[in-house]
Amino acid sequence: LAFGAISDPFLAGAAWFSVAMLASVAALLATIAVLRIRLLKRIARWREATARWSPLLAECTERVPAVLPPLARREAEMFLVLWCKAQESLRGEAQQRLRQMARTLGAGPIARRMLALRRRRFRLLALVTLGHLREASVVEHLMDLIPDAPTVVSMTAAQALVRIDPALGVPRVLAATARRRDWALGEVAALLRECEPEHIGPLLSAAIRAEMRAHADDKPAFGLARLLRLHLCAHADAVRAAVLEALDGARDLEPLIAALDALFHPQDADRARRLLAHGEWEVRAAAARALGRLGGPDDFERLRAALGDRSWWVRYRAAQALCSLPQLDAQALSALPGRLTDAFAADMLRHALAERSAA
Amino acid sequence: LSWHDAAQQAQWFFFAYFVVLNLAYVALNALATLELRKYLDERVLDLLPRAHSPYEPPVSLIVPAYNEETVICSSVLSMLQLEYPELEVIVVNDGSTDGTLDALSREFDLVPFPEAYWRRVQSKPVRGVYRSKRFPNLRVVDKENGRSKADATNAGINAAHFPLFCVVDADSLLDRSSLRRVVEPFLHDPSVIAAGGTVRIANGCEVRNGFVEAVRLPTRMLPLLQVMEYLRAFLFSRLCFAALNAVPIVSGAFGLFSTRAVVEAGGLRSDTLGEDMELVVRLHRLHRLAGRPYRIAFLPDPICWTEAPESLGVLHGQRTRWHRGLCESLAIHRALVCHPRGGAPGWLMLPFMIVFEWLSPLIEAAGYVFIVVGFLCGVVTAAGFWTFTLLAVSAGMLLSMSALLLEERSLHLYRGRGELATLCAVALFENLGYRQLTALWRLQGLWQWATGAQARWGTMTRTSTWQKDGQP
Repeated sequence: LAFGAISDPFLAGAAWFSVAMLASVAALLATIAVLRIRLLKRIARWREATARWSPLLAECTERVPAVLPPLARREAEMFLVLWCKAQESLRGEAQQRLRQMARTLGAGPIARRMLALRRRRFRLLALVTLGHLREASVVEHLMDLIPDAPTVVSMTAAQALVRIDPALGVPRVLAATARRRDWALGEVAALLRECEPEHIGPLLSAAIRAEMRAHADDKPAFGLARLLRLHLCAHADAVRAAVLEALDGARDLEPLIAALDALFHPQDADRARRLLAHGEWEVRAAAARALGRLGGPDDFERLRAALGDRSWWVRYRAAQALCSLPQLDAQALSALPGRLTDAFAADMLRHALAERSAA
Repeated sequence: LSWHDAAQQAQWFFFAYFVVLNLAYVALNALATLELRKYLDERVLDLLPRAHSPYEPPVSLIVPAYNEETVICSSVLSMLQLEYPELEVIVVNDGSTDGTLDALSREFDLVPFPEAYWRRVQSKPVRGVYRSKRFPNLRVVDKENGRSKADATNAGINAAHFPLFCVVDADSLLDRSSLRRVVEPFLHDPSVIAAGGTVRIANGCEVRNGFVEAVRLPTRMLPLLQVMEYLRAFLFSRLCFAALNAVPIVSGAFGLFSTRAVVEAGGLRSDTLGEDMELVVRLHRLHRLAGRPYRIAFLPDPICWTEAPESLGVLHGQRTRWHRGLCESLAIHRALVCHPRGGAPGWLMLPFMIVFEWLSPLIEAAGYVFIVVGFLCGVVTAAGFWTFTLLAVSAGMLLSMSALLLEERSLHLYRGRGELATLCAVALFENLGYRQLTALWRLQGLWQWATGAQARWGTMTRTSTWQKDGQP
């Protein structure tokens, strides 16, 4: 190459390779231009669709007109997005009227066709739409998606199923939540909150007990911990017994901590008191946290002793718990750091007191 | 081996290196395209309303600040407005010699706070901790200067109370939903220990109340050229390596970490210039060698905007430091390279970084010098000279244009009149001088690392026009 002329086959190959790359650059330039034109057209179509359907959607929340304009095929995706947005920001009768509107426009068959497409964005939009439409015909398909489909698809299918048939959907969602660590608990909680909390309590209790039975052997029980953390979605009384059973039977750290965090009744404080001496600092910290919620003046000495724990986190939680104990003399508490012989404990209590005064 | 033979073989080596380098990047681009398509498809659900839940883990936002008097208050104010349910902001004043602490004290009504400071990771002594009377979730840690961002970050980690911490540069501009988005990988996978996102150039953008309101291209040439560089760096390699769980770096401008994982790893190292890359490679190494499951996630969304240098001098210093940091990180963790338990980071990412990032300035610069000098000395023919030049330039153009195509297919952020045409022009012309110049700067960084020259933090001259418009 170094000494060759362009007739050198290697040099000629390199030159042709460069020319091919330049041609690719030109092709990419053209593709970028085409993509931009398509983007601008898509934006214009969105604007048109929004201008056309937004007023109608607003009208339909009050009253569905006898005659609706036809839903053009090319507008279907945009309409469904606008419709789903409206559905998710409304409640009650307005949602029902929007469903009536969508059915009149044939949104159900459109969404079912979309569900069969390969592109994930169409499938997701279809799942959300079908859930809001309460399309019972897709229930079987949704149940198939929940256990094994990719995270976002399975989660959206679960949401649709719960909307269509909560009695069927909630137990399946809870069972899947215990198994699927890729499901964000916040998203599960959001879909459970669409159901009545009094219905969730017994189902969640049953799921917790089923998970305890399933993990009676030595398998790690992360599923149990996940279910226990969902206690916020149910009435506390309804899951209390199951939480206590889980707390008493838990061997692993995760469910033990989750159960401690789920304690809410002052009568259960004894369990937290016992666990304040647990060998693992995470459990002791959770126990101190629980005593901060459930404890009384009798716990003062116990928590004061925990201020001397070797773990920073236990000391911190104990100090916070001390600051939130009821019926304690605020002045005496403020003076306590000065009386403590353990400098770490005193520092921590000062920290917690300053935090409390800032809150 | 005659002189001529050696010259010929050297030229073939340079030719082969350029071809393999560019083909490797094109392959990364192809993989990134597939990843991005999957990711963007799932974003259709983002169009729907979404509520926060108590299940999102609380986050400590750590803002290391050294002589940031002019920008710190507005930055902190915007951070306090991030959409996130539970958040504490910890500003670490790293012994600033300007009025950073006074400015914070005035703006946020700071009072001393009796922090039970826990020195979990190494940092210089703390002089005091303050909390804001206006914002209960804002604390300021005042410490002795540690001559590195890592030391200040470590002090922030020591004061952090939450399971996740996010390091944010004082001059970074965030999106209101930045934190929510970067937390998502942690919600879906308990093994995630770090997550980062795409950083973009803020120069030229319209900024209001500390947030980017409209994305615009910079008007000056140097930041404009960096826009293209950032496109290549973030969309290509990080997205592709993320699919293999081999992300090489979580940007120091905005990155989220598991507090526990970083504390167990010993915090950030103060003796390297690339502390962000070093930490991420160390996390890979520790987890891989211990056989612990983990994942380091990357989001293609632009979640952080940073001010790019507008002068050659500052850019020169920045690129030299970056390359030196890269060299340090790769050298420190060379044990992971092709280690039996190294996985994708050890067998793919690190070898790639060594061959195509670490050594590239050396080989690129040597190639240019060889061709030019050879041509002037008559060793290389005119045909050889022009073919090599055409090859190098066209390969660079192809890479830049592929990055632009990926951007246009996915996020298409630059929608202003004529902005796409400007970017296309930049993608073509940055290969005629600018890339060669940055290769030289990187070579200088490589040299400084090899000779062990004294590491120094450069000063970043900020223009921050949005700070001068009277915006808080």
